[in-house]
Amino acid sequence: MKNRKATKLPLQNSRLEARISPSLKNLFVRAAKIQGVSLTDFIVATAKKEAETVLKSQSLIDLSLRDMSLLIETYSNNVEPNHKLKQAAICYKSIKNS
Amino acid sequence: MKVVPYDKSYDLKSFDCSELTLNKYLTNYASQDIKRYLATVFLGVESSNTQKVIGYYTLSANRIDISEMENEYTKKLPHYPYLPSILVGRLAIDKDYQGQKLGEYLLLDALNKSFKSEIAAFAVIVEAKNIRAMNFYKSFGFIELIDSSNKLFLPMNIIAKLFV
Repeated sequence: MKNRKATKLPLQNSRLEARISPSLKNLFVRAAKIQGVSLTDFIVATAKKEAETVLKSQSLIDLSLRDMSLLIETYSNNVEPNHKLKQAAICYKSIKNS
Repeated sequence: MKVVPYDKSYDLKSFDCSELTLNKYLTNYASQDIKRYLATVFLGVESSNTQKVIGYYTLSANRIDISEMENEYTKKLPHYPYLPSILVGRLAIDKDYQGQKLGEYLLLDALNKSFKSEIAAFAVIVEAKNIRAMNFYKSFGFIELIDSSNKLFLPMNIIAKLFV
């Protein structure tokens, strides 16, 4: 990283503050206690997990086993498109090529 | 109506499909997605030279995780843990133009582009934002995923029969 020195990126920690209701904070504190971690660690770990899921879901579709089967079975059955889709395709091609 | 790649010179602001998030996407987020190569956006516009946007849709490349599948199911497929797919994340028609089969035209354009693409895909996946959209896709034979909410798919071998 050539620019690191020039831009003075903080190498250790940066701060994040959030305003939340006392009841929500209490909920987080209780959950953190059960896991035996600090409130900060609890919130950071939870948010990180969620952020990774969101980013992953941008490009990855996670299917349940029965949805995988549904997909593969539909593919394997190799059925004809339904009537409405066929008509729509005929219509589309005639407009596009006109 | 003709379909053109996203272009700021069209009147994106007055596009109104009655679904606020879909309107906002076009004005606030579409260009960012394009710049970051997260999605391509196509506009349905009047064939005559007006700036009116009739509708739009987005395409992006995805992969479907099938790594947990039993071998007996996947033996007809190469042993890949992922299947490539194309996602039609959004598809919308302006409310003044609804009921004229223009959404149908945009959907077929999306399927045609997916099929003709030089990048292979196993299936086209669509995301339905509401019941109406869900029924729209179902009427064309899209199959609703059971556990993945609001998503439907159509395998490419079925789509191929429309365009060969």
